[in-house]
Amino acid sequence: MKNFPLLLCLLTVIYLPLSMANDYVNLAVTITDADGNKVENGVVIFTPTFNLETPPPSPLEPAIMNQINKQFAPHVLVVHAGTEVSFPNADNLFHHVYSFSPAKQFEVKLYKEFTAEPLLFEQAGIVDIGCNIHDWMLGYIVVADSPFFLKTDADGNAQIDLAKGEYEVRFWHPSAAKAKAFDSDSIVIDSDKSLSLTLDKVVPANDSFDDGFGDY
Amino acid sequence: MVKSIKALLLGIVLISKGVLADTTLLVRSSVVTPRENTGFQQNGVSHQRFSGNGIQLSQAVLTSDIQLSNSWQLSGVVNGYEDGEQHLGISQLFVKYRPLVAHSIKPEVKIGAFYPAISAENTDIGWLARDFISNSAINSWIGEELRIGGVEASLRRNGRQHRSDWSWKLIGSVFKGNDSTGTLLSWRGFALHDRQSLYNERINFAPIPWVVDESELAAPPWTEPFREIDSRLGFYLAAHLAYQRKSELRYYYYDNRADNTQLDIDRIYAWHTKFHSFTLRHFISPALSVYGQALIGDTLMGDYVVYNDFYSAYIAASYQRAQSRFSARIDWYQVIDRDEISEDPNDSRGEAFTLNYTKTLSTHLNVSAEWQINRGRQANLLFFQDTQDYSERLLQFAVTFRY
Repeated sequence: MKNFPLLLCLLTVIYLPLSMANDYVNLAVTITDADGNKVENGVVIFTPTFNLETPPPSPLEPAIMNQINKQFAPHVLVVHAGTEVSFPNADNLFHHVYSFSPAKQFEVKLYKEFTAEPLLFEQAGIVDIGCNIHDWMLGYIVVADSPFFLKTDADGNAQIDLAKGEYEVRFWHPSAAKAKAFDSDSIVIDSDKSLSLTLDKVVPANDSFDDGFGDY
Repeated sequence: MVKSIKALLLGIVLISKGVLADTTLLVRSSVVTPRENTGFQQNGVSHQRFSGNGIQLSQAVLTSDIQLSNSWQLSGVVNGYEDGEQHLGISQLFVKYRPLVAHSIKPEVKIGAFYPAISAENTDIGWLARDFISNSAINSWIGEELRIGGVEASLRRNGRQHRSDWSWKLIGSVFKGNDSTGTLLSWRGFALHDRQSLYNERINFAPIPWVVDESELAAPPWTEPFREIDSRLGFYLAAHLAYQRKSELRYYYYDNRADNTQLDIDRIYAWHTKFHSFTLRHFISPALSVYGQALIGDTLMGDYVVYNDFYSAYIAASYQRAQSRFSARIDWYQVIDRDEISEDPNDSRGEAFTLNYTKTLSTHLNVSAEWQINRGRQANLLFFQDTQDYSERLLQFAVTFRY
């Protein structure tokens, strides 16, 4: 984090001409399920149907999928295709992380408190990740074919800055992958706005009773 | 003695705290209220582990899981005890083969000396109970008379990875070296404690006249639970079924297939012991769990010289609030004598109630207080005292250090 001021300057330098080239507006989204419960880890991918004059910059550093207390953190990570993801291990034990998903197949051996070389995620899709030592560990890396995406927090909220224009929208959630959040496949963003989205399905409650119920 | 055990364990920890090993040292010291009768480990009639009072080293456990390669892991548990016939030894030592496979049904093989995963309460390191100092009657017995020296193979399907609420595991095992299992249930009866037997260790019990008399059975007043007597293989089959991570049922059928007509040079008999075990655990909320187990079996020694049915069950609840854990357990147990030898009555039955409070002070230290009453009647106590009845109260205060 000591490079934070530098990072901030860089981002500002990049963002300023960007916002001049495209007229950016802010979109705030709140997602609830069919029962009115707030939906955490809901992912929305916005794919512009127009040509961006200046595409947003690629991330400077790899995204992070950590392992903390025998759980993947975050549970859902969203990255743009072409992003590197780093796998640190904050636990004081061995993890053997793997994926057999078509979008990215890999295995990494993570000795305690160790970070493996970052892996490149090039192909868009949902990558399920697990640990061969701890069966109950499950995480997702959503590899988006667009640089514009959001993921809702515990209150079901998220926001994103988007260039004005029309976007194809897709929703995904790990426990309700086929739920629909939008009435149509596309949306026009022309000014700051807040969207309240209600899914057509109920998202099952979190099953993360992880302590003391492991294999023994 | 205690100092040398601690020094040895600490040395092993320092050596094995490497990158590839997950090693934990646990030391528990207890203050135990005075005992009226001598414990079974000193050939007394009490079902209690400790005979004396005062400060005891109740557990010194060193566990290590060493990753040998991607798929192979070596696990070992070394125990040090102040009481019993052997003060330092191994309770578990096995390798586990757990290959990474793409199929949704995944295999695992264990080879060595280990416990079947039969208990819902012994989920702490080194097969210690998480919520209590002393184990239930069922798992006290398993800790002292049952250990698998063999191979276990399993297939499992984890539901969470396949968007299903249900997970399952099917298990089969063959083993040797568990031929005298059943001896303690018959001649001492069920007991509640946390003393696990070490490999090659002998466990004493009160010298029942007909058992030890040279002109009668002429057997020693001790048993060695993991001794091989008849060269036959035993087996167990098991199934686990879990709903999410909230509820789980485990069924085990165990049969040591011992040849009950065999005995060895020390006049230790092979006991043909078989049982069904049902284990259930359920999280009512992340803070409150209930669990229990039921055991139904029988054991046969000689040509119907000793033939007993045994039953036991317990139900326990545990509630976690901040750094405090409150737990309660009720145990029932019974042994029914079905043979014709009246000089060796094996009937016993009883119940126990246990309350535990544990407070976590840091990641390395916790303190606990446990009160227990265990009462019942046991026919063979009449050889040693005026009544079959017993009522044993135990109050323990323990400090547990783990590193």
